[in-house]
Amino acid sequence: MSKVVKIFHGPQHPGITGNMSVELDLIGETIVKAKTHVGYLHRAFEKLIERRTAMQAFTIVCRICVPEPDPNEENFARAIEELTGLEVPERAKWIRVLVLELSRLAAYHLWMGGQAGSTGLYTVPQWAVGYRDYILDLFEELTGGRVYHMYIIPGGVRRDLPTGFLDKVSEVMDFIESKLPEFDRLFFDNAVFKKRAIGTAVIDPETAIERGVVGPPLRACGIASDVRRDAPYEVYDKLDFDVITETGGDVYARALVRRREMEQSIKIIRQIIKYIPDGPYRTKIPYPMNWKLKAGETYVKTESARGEFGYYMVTDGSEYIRRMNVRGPAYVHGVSLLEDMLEGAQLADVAMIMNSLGTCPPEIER
Amino acid sequence: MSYLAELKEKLENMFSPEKSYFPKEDTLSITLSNGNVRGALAYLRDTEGFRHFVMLSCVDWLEDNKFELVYIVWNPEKKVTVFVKTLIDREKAEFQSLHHMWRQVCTYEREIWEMYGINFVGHPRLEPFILEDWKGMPPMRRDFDTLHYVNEHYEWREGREESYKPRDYIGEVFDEWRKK
Amino acid sequence: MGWGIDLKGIVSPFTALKYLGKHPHTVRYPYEKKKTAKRYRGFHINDLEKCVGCGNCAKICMNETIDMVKVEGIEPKKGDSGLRPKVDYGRCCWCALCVDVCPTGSLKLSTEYVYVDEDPNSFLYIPGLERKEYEEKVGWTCETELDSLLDLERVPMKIMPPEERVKTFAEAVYGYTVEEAKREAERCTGCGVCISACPDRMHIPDYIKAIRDGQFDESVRIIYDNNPLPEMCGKVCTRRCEFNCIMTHRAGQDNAIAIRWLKRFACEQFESYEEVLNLEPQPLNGKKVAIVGGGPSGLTVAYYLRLKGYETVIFEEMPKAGGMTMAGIPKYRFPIPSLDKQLNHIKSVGVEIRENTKVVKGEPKSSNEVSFEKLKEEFDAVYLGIGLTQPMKLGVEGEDLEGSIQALPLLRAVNFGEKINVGQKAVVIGGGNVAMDCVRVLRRFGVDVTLSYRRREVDMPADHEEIHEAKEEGVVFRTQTIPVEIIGDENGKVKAIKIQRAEMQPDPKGGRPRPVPIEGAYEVWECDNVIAAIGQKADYSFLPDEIVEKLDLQWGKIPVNERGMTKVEGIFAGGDAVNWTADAISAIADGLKAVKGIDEYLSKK
Repeated sequence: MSKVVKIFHGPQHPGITGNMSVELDLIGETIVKAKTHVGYLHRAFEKLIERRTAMQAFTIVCRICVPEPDPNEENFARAIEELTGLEVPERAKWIRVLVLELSRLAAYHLWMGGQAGSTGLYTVPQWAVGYRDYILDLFEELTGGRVYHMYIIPGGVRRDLPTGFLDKVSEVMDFIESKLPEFDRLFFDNAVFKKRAIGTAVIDPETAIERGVVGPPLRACGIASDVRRDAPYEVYDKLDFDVITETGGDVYARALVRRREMEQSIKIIRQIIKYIPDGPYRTKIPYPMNWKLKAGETYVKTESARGEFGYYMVTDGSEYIRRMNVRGPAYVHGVSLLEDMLEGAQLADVAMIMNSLGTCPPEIER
Repeated sequence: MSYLAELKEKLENMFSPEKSYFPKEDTLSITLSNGNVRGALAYLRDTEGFRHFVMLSCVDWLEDNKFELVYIVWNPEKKVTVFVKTLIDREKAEFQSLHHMWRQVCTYEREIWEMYGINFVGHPRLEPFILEDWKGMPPMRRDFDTLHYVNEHYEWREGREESYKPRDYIGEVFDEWRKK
Repeated sequence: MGWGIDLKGIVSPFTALKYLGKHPHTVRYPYEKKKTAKRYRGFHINDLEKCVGCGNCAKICMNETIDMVKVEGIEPKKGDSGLRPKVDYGRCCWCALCVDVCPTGSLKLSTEYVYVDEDPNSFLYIPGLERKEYEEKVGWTCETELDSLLDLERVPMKIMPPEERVKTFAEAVYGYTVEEAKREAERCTGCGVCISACPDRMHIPDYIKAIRDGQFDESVRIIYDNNPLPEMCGKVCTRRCEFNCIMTHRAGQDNAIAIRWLKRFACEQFESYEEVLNLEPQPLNGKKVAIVGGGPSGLTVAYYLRLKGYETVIFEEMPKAGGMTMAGIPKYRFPIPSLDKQLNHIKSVGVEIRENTKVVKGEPKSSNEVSFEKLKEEFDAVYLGIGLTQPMKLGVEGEDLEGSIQALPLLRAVNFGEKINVGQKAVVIGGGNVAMDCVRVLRRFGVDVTLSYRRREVDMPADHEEIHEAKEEGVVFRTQTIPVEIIGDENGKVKAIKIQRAEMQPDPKGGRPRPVPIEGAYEVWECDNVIAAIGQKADYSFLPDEIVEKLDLQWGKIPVNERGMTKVEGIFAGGDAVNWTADAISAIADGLKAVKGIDEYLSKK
């Protein structure tokens, strides 16, 4: 009988944002059992929100996911809007989609760096994170913050687009687009990556839905499921884009889905630049500290770069939110699914698989 | 009649819910007795095609002395959401584990066990999830006072002793003649 | 894939080699500091002059980053709490909500975001006082109304249209509905800056909060804590609070929180106040206080002293108490049932009001008269709330002609339902609230009214809303006109008024501009009546001479100490005859001051 070795992988990992530990039972290089340990980043946001009014809570939600804060802001704002019956002006909706797509692009760049880094290809992260900064520059100009934008608020967005902003977006999009083929050559076509990724951590389409898999991992199994299409929010129903699917269900298929979605994001952003209407960017809300939220419950979801990001929100008629429960994609991908995926995998692939599933500890623990 | 309205009628006939309504267009919310939850979820999953389990949430209704468990399921074909809700007693916080229906329920139940102290009978792995060495009241319960906890465990930084509430301060400063 | 060699996959990554030796994208050589975006959310900057210390920033901060602290050199004053925000950068999360709720726009964020120091205390600072170097690097600001998180638009008040108004003495302002009132109350940030401007220091944020929460009875209880005539104040108060409301900084005067209407709303929710307040006056302690004059200050003294257990008796010359709010203010602004409701409540706690009773010096000549000396003897203390009852005269030729009258007697007659004798055309002289009341009342009798005022319209002491409404009702405003002579006809009746136009000249001493008559610029306006509404003064003729002397009147006003006591022991005074603001809320404040004074004085005695 072989000797079982127990090791702790993490909590620092190459390629994933945040800290999380995986306890592995190994026979040789092969994992026989994996157990996740989260809790390094618990900040009790769901609890903190109980003591804060809606507008105060708004500044907290963006911190739930560091690489991609905007789907959180979007969800939060939309949940409050649905509960209180607030109408969002048309222009605000377009600006929101612009922000969401920019953030998706930024997140995919960060993911690309992580995925390549966890595979041992260290040029990609340098490029990807560098180019991501051009998107962050855009965010800085639009929202006043590079990482935590705090921009999408209930009722619209906080400020209008600065003058000349869309031209800058257009320039950055051209730049990003021109760099995508280089990533193809360097990373997606790379024999090393293909060799390691194809056939690794396969999810079969039958169980993917039942296991609650969402986003790129689900689409990589050939299921065309995208919140932007299934339950269009803001102005996604007016925009032309494809839902990307692949059939492999493995790490490589997931990578390809994300790679091709970047092109779709650029396409969406170009449409926004072209068609964005004029008008107010915000509906006035009551003074935030006195704003009594109508009692009710709702579940809102947004397609983030890692899949469906959902908020279940309950209000009771007071100024405070009774309960806000965050359902991040990583909650399913990064705990129960990851444990199963790791069984039988190689030790060297752990970081790659975690990254491929979109594991994001800050959102698992909130 | 829309699919969701039909579904509402069917569920009403089968499970006689305490309450059922549409929080929004594509969502049905239905409150069932404890005993009917598993049956309803099985029916939704196997017959109606709600194969995708979205999340399990818990709401603390301290005033009514109840916990509310909310199972959210989604139908990928019809693209509609159903909230299956049930109220359980806060004193005897216990419910059957449904981890065998969807494997990821395991994680949700584990978190709710930890954060609300609800015991899920039959759960294979009720062990600490997010918190570390936590003793005392499960922190997501509404009677857990965060400010009190902070004051007990942490110190406030020095140099911030002076702080006035403008309303009280104005009342004081401009009201001196009345106080004298 | 099998064992086939993926040649493309092996070769293509090497294309990256073309970047060898190329200039990198993100690293700048030679080093140059990145310029942050215009909207960057960095360290705070604050314009201490503009800041009014409302504390909205501290309140909205979810991290409790901001403390409101005293700053040397900044004193609390009207419309300014004197406090300023101090920021703790150990907690700030740069969300800039504080900027978005700043009512004055004084608080901004800078584009500066790097600060390194080994002293943790230096991360706590008062923006505007320290680190002034950031002030040149303005980042995130809140400029437009849409940027602001404050609800800057007042819920409009429904008012009777002008063409209807001139036909009736029915109340012109309809009042808020429950829903409107709650919405208006929701706008209030509860900062309390308004309190600094209220002479009576009413608990404004507290009763507005009660309205917001739907607890109207609680609201009335809070209001009654220091105002026994709230419905009157809710209708006709000069509302200094609203002029100092923080909303006015961004949204202008008309969008201040409608404090007056909210108070009115709370009071109008109840038919009578007895049940709401459910007060139990202290049992009588055997001490008696006489109050001369049943105006707002007298009623205040009587009411609160009675609650403290003193026997209080009001001596009112007119058939009904209320003072100027009864005799002066027209009923379309303050209807009699409203006044009755409040008087009834005051009486219900045991205050005795003797109407039609005049206090005189010497022996009383009829049963309607009481001698002041007797009051002084019989009562333990006397309060003078006598108000200003003597109208001032123009001092021009022809003032004694028939048809030349003063505003006060006219308003009094109208309010008590007496017949008045006015012609078709009238000229009213003055620019204060009494003048406005007068012209608007005359319009309701179908008189063509012209208002003559020495200065410009902006100089008028009258409420801008009153001016606006008077104009709507068809009053002709002729500003910068000075009456010179009233011209009579052969029967000794007013026929016309001769006025002289004036131009405004700056005051060399720096005061407000002065009207200077233009030589030869005379006009004659035909009219049947000339009504002077240029002010009024107190009447001290009922006081014995030696007491008047001891009171040591200054410019016609009675000097009092901070407890409301005059220079004569046992005689207290307040109201228009004492203060220079001469409005109802100041009178109530004076009354409260005297309540404290009398209570202390009699407890010692």
